[in-house]
Amino acid sequence: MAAVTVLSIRDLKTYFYTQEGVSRAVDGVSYHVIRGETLGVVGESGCGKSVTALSILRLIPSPPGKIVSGEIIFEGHNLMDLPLDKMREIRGNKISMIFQEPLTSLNPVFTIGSQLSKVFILHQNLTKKEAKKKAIEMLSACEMPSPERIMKEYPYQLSGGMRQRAMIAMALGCNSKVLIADEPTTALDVTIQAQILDLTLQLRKEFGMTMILITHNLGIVAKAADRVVVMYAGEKVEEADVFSLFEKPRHPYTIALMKSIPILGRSEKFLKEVKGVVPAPYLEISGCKFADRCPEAMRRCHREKPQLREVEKGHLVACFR
Amino acid sequence: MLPLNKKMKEILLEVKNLTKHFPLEKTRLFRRTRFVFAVNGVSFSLKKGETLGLVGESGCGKTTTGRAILRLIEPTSGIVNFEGQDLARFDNRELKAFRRNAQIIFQDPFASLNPQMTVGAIVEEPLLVHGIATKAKRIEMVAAVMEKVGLDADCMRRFPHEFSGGQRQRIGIARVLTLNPKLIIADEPVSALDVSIQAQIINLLVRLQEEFQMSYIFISHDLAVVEHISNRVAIMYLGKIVEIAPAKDIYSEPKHPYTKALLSAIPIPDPKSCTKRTILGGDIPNPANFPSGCGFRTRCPMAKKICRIELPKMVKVGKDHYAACHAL
Amino acid sequence: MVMEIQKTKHNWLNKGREYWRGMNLILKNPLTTFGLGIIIILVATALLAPHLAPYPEQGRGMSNLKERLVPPGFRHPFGTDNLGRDILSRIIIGARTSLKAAIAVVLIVIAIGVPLGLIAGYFGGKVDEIIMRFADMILAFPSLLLAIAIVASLGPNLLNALIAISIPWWPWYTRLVRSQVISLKEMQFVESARAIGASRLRIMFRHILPNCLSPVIVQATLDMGYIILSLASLGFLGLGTQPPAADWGVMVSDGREFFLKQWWISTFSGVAIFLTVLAFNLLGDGVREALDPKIRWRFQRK
Repeated sequence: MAAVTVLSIRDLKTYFYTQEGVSRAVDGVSYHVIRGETLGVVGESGCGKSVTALSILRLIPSPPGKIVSGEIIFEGHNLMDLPLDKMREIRGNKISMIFQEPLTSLNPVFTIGSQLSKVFILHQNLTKKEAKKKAIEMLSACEMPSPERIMKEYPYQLSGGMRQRAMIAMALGCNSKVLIADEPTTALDVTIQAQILDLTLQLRKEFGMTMILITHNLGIVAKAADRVVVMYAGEKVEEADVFSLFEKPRHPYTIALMKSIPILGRSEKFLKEVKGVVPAPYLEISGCKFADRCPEAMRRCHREKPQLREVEKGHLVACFR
Repeated sequence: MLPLNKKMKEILLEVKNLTKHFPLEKTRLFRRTRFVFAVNGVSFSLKKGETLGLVGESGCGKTTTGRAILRLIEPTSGIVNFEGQDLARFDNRELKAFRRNAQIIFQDPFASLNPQMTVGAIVEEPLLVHGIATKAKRIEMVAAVMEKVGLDADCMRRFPHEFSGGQRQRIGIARVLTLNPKLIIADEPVSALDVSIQAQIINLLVRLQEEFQMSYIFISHDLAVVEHISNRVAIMYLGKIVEIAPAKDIYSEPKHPYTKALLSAIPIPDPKSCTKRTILGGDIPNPANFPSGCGFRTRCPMAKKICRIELPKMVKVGKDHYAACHAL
Repeated sequence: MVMEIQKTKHNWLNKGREYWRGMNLILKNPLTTFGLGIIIILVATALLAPHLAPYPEQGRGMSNLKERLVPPGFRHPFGTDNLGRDILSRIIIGARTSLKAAIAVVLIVIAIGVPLGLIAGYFGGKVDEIIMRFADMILAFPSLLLAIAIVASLGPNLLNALIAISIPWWPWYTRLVRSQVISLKEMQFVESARAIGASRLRIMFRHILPNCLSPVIVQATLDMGYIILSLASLGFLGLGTQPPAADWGVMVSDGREFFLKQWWISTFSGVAIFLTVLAFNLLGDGVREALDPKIRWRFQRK
């Protein structure tokens, strides 16, 4: 299968202008997604993973936010240059996004059915009847029990897992080229999380869905992603396919992250902790942003910013080591 | 997965058949009030210096159990014995004395500290409430405790909103430590924190336990974290403990089908692990309206006819290992 | 995204900086600055009234029949009334009355409303039911009518007017505080205080009360204007300040019969009322905005 790049981000910079100063939420991030793959984007809160995703759809609240520079290439166009009405056609249609809490993205006063059909009528020019049929079809593709009944229910009547399924059904029905999932399972219980994760894996197989999966959970990434981008403090620090990343993590941050989580069945008294905290996003840091917490930091790391380099085919690391 | 210490023999806390039912709002005027059966007959004991992990999904009653043990919520029925004394009989004065011995750490580091108080005042408050020491002595004690949890003493004059989540959780721990309690109930203390910060706080809790020999009840939905920190683990589902065992047995020999499903649902951070996952269908039943017989039968892959009729009893399945399932 | 403020060495500056930041936020909005400016002028005027007024005795009520109904001019910038008193002086002296009375009413209303709201919200159940139904009962009357009825039964003077305005006003504060308390008492820091064994009084006054004061401050600022307006209304009806003492409402009322030919009597006192109410409203809105980020911590969840 030829690797076709569906979406690529080049040197994206999204800043927030706040009282404390300029917060560099995303500071020069580049990545791309290949058709049919799931790209995992991992990092801790405030690392800019969600802001990057919102920037793709140009959904950054402005002010205080602003996309300062960078390109987002999708189907040969730079999304940054598109007029707003064209952008609206892309949002929710060609590129869909699902969020951590689906309740906030569903309108509480309309039934699931009417919301799904409305989207299909709007984006796919279907008639009301066709749209309804399609909605039921998509809900059952997402393994909703009795989709006809669900169609008539309101968002609050569904459980968290069911709502997330409805959101996925919406994205699926639009034939979205890319699905951006921002922490889709974080708000769910473990057993429900497993259901949703399993569903996305299956849909990828069946529909060849391309997905950007944003999460802080390394377990989910290992399970669901083909390639992984690790972000820290607004920058990409490592990129690799999932096997080589977990087998041979190169960046000290990635290594530290993997060691700091407790693993079932591994008995040890203390976890390996990463000292310190993430630097505030408005601080000017000339060197590597992880240097202060890095166990292997050299003097050079504090002075000079390490550039991304390819250590193996497809494995990029921003570290001098 | 800490091995049981030989010294741990004395029982600190004993919970017998604890229940808590919350009344739902009356739906109709002349109808009987319906109840949410949040905790429905929970029994366990906790030894001195031991950590018991309480695991379950949302709505399983783990948080309510923790609150009811401390009488932050009055339990509907059941017995809680702390050092051999029945908590339900405590009057206000005795209850206050009990609070010196049993404390709670909260999940949300943003909501659990009074935003209008300085960190010093927050940490000092327990001493003040219990009338311990003079002002000068108290400040000394606060500084000492702050150092124990890894905070600078000059944080005392600052306000909670100036701190990050991990630091706030340290402040919360410092506040609890001032009273030198024998029991700490930690209610999801790391769920709101980032992965790298989680490890810092978990390690801190383990270190403090070593130093002060307190017992923990560690409540969490994250089985991996619980298994790491606990001596024993209790798995809860719909207000009941379905399995309780030493931490390593829960992982290596889970008996209850729910425990098995829970274990296999945890995504393992290794792309090569291809353990067969048992994925449970369906949703957790509403605790206001739950199934007859075994609560888990609606999702259980091995449910039989008897599960519908009869409530399974806790049976011994190994050393210190109990589970409640008809299939055992 | 939550901004995490890093450790700073000069932490003792933080608190001062915080207030300064709040002030900055208030001043950022030109309308708020305008409101604040007027209020500062008003307060200064009230404080220095006897020194500022060109004819302080006339301000207090001494008539000067030689100069009745003089139009605005050099000697009397705002003209004189039917008893020859300088309008400017009367407005300046009247500012003192109005401000004092408004502050008194706000304090009374807070002193009654806030503790009742605290008790109703914290204890809930029957106590809540009794306090709130009583409050509802008072709110069910049209407030000005109730005030008029109270003054009419107590007799018209300034003190009774204050009482009359305060009685229908406090339930608003009770409601405001109660709703705050109900959400605050479920907060984890309150539970945390219970867990360490803190007494009810301590929880109410140390933990809950300080956290529900910001909306009370906003409401009080906004209400200052409305209270002055209500006082003027009572004055206008002859139920507040009694002549010859200066009162804006009384002055508007006095000028009524001369309005078509001697417009200045009612107009200038009316403008004074208008500007004061406007200024307190603008400031109140500004304060609300400035305090908002600090209320927002409650919704800061990650």
